[in-house]
Amino acid sequence: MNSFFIVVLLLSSLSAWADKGVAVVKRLRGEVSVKEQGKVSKLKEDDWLRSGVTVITGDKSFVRITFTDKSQMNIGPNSEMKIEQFGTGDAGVLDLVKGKIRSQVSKDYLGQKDKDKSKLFIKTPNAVMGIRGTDFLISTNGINSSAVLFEGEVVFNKVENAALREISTSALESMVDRGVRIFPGEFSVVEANRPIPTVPSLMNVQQIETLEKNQDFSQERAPSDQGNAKANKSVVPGGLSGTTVASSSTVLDKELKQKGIEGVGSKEKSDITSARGFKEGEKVKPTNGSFLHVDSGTVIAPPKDAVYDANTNTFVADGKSGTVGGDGNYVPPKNVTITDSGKILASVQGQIVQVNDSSMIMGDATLSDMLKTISTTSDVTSIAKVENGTLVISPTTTTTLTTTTFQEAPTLCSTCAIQPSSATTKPSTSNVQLNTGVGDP
Amino acid sequence: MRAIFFIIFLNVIAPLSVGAQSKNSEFNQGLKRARDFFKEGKYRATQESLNALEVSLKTQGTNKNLIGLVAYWSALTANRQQDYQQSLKYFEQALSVDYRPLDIYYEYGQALYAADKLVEARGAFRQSVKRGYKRAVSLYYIGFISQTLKDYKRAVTFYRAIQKLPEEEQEDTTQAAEMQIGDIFLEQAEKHPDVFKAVEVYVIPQYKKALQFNPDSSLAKDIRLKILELQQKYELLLFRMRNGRPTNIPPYFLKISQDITYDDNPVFAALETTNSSAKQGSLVSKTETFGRYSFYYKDIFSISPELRANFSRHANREKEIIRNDNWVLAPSIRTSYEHTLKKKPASFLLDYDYVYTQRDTQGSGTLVFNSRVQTLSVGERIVGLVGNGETTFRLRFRSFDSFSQSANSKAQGLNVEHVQPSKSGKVWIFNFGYDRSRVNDKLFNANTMFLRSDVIFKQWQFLSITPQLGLGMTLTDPVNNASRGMETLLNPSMRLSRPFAKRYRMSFHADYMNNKSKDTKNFAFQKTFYGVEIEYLF
Repeated sequence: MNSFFIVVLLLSSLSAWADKGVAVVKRLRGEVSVKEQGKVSKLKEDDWLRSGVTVITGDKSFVRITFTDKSQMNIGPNSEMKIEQFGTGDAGVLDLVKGKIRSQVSKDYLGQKDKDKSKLFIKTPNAVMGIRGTDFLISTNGINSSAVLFEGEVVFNKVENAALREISTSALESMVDRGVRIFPGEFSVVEANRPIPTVPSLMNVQQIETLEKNQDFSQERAPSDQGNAKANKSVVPGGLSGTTVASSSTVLDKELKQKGIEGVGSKEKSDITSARGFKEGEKVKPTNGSFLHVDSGTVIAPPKDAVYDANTNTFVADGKSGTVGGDGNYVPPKNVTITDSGKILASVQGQIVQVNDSSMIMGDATLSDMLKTISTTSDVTSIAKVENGTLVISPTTTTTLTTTTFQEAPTLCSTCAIQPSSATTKPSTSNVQLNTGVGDP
Repeated sequence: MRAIFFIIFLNVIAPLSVGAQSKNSEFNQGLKRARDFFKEGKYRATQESLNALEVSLKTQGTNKNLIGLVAYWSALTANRQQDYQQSLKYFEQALSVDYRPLDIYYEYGQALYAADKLVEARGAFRQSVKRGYKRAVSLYYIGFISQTLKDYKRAVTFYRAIQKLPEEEQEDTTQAAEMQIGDIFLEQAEKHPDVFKAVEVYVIPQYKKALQFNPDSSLAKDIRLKILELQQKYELLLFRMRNGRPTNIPPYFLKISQDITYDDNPVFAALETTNSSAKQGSLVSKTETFGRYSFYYKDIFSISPELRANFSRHANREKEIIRNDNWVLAPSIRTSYEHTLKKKPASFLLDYDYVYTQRDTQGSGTLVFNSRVQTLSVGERIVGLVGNGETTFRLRFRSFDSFSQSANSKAQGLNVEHVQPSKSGKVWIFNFGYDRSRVNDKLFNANTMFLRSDVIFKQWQFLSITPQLGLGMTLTDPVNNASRGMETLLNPSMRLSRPFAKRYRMSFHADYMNNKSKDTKNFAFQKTFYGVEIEYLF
């Protein structure tokens, strides 16, 4: 009789939870509102959210919500996230329309039987992520989406918007299964004009360390006072590669072993090859150690003379390519701006020129190369101007700069505006011969 | 008594020992924590752990070895974050307690280099070389720093020292080192008065040498680009015309030469109509300069102005001989239009030659106007007409004006030249010419046929000598002077040429001429002349 009473009590309490909603607001900062059946109302701490509602955050705002399974979602500034489905016994589905979410998914949630199945899906306008891990960051600007993983494992794939709206969780599962698997320390980007996500790459170590700490989006964007912002110049002398000058941790290991402590170990050479990044057909792998501009999904590869860190298997950019802000986001170098839509704008001789078209993913042409080139070219087209202190971008976004620097650079970024288009105008080097002798005419 | 010791042990020594063990274990835990963070690439967290260890070490006392380890590790961590100001502080701390792991000078050198403390960095890399850590890269750093400090001699020495290391130790530095030597050469060449030649002779060959180390490396691409840029900048690039014919490289040619010849029978033939043999020998000095520059319009037309000037003087000052002293000024313009004929390269040629001569015609020791010759040639050069050689047909229109009006003449002629390279490396040159010369004094009208064959042999490698043999025959038909009959001039010749120094060439040459004529008194002659010529080619 007593047990029956307890069961009834439990069921009624669960039913009361379900009535309240699927998630509760634990913390918020700034302007946070909820949209439910067309009505928008302000959110406050301890408010409950039902399936089907959309949470909207304003500038410099943040909200932490905890789902009934104890999973925690931190929604960053200028974001919009819809809880499509949660707590129905099936995998949950969240729709990130714009902005970013930092999530720490409950291990209870992950304790489901089938470990190869996603426990939660997060959709963006062009991507879907199946959550099988515990700590990640997903971001979208409505055009590009990016995912960064700190712990556990996620799968990430591109999905066309129209196809995504009305599909079941089993279809979502099948979709993410065909995507890329991201491991801790890695990131992947889904671009509007690339058919598949980038092959996951290790992120710049300072950026991932800073991002990991900034769980509640509380830190300011201002450049971090740590690390590469202080770099004077590249440690790689001209002519050598970052891998040649790199030293492994073997000496440190030896020193630690003398103290009875196991060393850190070194990465194999095969890792270095992959660390450089590649492009094989549709597959693009950014260089390990690239920065990610989280707001836009723009990838900034380390410069050619970046030093290789054998310990982390990444190339480390110096201050010339930008640095990491206090919030963990990428901060471009002086006179360069990255808009939220992914345009890299540089101020050159009083004009503002666009360096890329949408994003720049790996390649011989790194940001520092491009900046060097556009600073020496006179053939620039102004595509943006500052009016009353505001950057106004012209509707014409395709700016092609013909330069000599890129004549032999392989085209790795189909979306980059600067292309080695004039390569064919030069005589082939096979025709090059030198008159080594001296002779009478 | 035993009991007392036992009590002392329990109360004093054991707690100290346990305390020390506990602190030691705590310290090791701290090291392990730092190791785990370092392994994950969490350098800030590593640094924080190491800072905590540093503080605990300060309170514990002075274990130099541990202080050194923590400082060294902190320095490595700061280096990984490219925070070189911080890493320098830690390296100096480690070195101050004499903690010197194998790689410390290398890592310290990198930090100094990045912080632009170049002289100190060079010293640190020297230490790294001495300790045998990454010797090739350390030598490269020393070379590179020396190059940056404009200490080129030392830079080249250290770059070249890399190649003395065992091959497996050279890593990927040799090609880069050779390229840097090329950069140093370029720096020097650009200060050279003849930058064009210096780039061609020193810089580009050095870059090519660098290329050979690994033609497929990513650096090789940069080196090729450097070569191409230099060739374009200094006009050393062998462009090809639209039909594939190569252009002259460099576009200019300039030489001066000095020839000393012994002529056993100088022949005076100032008017081309008559000749007079001196019948005694003389040394002849001939000083000459020749220059040409080729301009190319797109890949279709070329125009090459030329200028030749020479002065000849005989050592034997006999009147009959010094009449041959002369100086010549001969500007020309050569043009070509490149096209194809039967899918092979062909050129339409239009040339103009002007030769002005002054001569001591009276044997008075004074050079006076002798003649002015103008020649207009129209021709076609064709490849593949015979074998894989090149054949040139020319029609010539020649006007000869001299100090004696009666000797002035007009001539029309045809010339065919064929250059045939052989598989064995020889080059054959065949020449056929026919001229119809009409002189104001019709007695001297003549029709002349000319045949000549030369062969240039492949260079004799052991002596670097290029031999050349030739045989020419000229048949002259003095149409209005039966007393001369058909004259035959035979001219075998030989030449041995050898380059020496960088820009010089020396040749030994010998000729024999025998002109047979029915008028043995006035027209027949034979002579031998041989000499040495030294050329300086710019």
